[in-house]
Amino acid sequence: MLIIHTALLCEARPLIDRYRLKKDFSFTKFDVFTKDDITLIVSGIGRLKTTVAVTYLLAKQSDLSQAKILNVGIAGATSRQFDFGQTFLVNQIIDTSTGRCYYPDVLINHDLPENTLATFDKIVEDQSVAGDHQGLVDMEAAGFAAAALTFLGPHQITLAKIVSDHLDIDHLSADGVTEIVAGELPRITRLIELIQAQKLPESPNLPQPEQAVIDKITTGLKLTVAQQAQLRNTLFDCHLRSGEIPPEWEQYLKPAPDSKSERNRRFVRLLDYFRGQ
Amino acid sequence: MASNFGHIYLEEAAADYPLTAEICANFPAAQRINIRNYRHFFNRPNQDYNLQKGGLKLILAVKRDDLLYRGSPECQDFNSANFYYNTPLVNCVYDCEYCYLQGKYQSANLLVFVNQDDLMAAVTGQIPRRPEAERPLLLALSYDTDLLAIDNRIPIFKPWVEFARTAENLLVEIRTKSAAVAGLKSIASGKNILLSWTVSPQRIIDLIEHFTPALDRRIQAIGVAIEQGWQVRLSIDPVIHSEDWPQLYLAMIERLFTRLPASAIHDIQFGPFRINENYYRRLRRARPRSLILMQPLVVQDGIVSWPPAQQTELRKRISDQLSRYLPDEKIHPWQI
Ligand code: SF4
Repeated sequence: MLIIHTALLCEARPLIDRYRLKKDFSFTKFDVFTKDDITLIVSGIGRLKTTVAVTYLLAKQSDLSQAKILNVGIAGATSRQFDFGQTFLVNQIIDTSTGRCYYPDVLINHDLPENTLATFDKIVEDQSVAGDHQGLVDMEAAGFAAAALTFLGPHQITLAKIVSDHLDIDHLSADGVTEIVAGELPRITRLIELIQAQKLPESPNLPQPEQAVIDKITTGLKLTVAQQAQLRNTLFDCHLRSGEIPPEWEQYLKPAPDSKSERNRRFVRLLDYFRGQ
Repeated sequence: MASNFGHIYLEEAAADYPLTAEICANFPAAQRINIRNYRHFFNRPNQDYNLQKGGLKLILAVKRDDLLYRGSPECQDFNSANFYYNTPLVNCVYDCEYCYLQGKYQSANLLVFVNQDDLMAAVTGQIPRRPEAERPLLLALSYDTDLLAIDNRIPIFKPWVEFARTAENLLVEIRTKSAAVAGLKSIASGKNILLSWTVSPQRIIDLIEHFTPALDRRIQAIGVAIEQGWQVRLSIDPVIHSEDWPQLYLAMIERLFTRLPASAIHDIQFGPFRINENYYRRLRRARPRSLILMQPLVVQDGIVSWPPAQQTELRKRISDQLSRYLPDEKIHPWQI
């Protein structure tokens, strides 16, 4: 699953067209577009809206082990050595209001130049706002990183920023922004391919027949994802301590629980049983 | 090797050290990222150790505390109260599936401390304060890495050898699996430096010691080191359990001593796979399909290892085989 975040609809437009994404009306708080494996969310400008949107989307997913998230957007550049319309992969995000830094793990073999980006709470119109920061500036990346890293590992997040101005942002129109992103679409598309091709580790499986025990208990008690993970760890420990999975676990599945609270009670007793062995 | 070091994360405080300049010069194409404190990068939550192994980053930092540690019970310390270790460099370019580093650290990235002089000063300061004055301070220099494996680009090995050679009452052990011994020629060996080579049967190397040199290349390297006057310890540790572990390991011992002069071996140590229980949990999560998890393992006093009966068998069979070549006082089995 790939989630793409943009702040503005005009930034998203070329991606929506390229991947033929359709608006998903089941999302009511933000504009969300989907097709197959790709979901795109538009947050609105600023750190807070970004944090809320990314959190909103990630919190709705039941399994994030294979999820990847990409922020695409325009950014200002403090130096003219960074060309207008050039795309950078961000390797460090500095939150200028807290001083905190975020680091996506750059593990794909990409061919984009990399840069550091600082997020400000107001539009960076000249170097006096950017202070001594050298690199890229925006108003969202720190919010994106803070929210994404609450749910995902640093290897699951990527930020691609396209230089839209050299701290002289007032001349930018929505159409202009779309044009900038569209101009870099081949590079962004290539990046998306690389991200999608990156293999993430599968969630751990026990060797058979332990896995079969997990599967049966999961179905029998209709366990949540978190409960499955807990069960897996408990069984591993149990196996380590006693060399086998004790056989009487099936009695905890019968009769099938008729409510979530009964399921949870039964699950706790089952874990106690395994731990007691 | 897994390393490409396309990125160097440079801590502010490390910027002006000569070792920083030397290392950066060895990676001219690396992307340089200036960071305030290495911990902000190294200790991030939810990092994926195995994924990172496929694209290691280099972190250059200053070590401010814990310049020297007391040895832990899982280490092979010959019951010496004088046993210490330090971490001039953290993490390794090799990728052994049993490696405890993946349980110990959040990150697989290579963390190099550029203030090696401070680490040396800590050792110098501890020598007169060692618990057993009649024996030297025993320092394991590379428990958290393989210094020799990366010495051509991260030159830490040589300064430590030079430091150790002139120090009194100090015995330094440097563990390695490397075959890169060409550089040893330009360094004078020292009587108080032990190069400790870990050897494993080729099948184990193929299956779980990723990116490490083949057994024959290690044997060749050991031969070169011996010829150049280095003191060499052999380490068959950890022994990995499989149905035919005795055949694998006994045949390897025979191979070692047909190619190496037994009289030139300082000593040999061996022990079963063992790991702290908490580290084991993380290893299990990180490598759910590893051969390591297929061994018969039990927990005893917080350490996960072979069941006691099998440990006894291991001690007997390996000791018997080794005593065909070495006197008993040179054979050191690990025991809980
Ligand atoms: S050589 Fe040693 S430190 Fe390096 S990965 Fe293997 S066990 Fe770990």
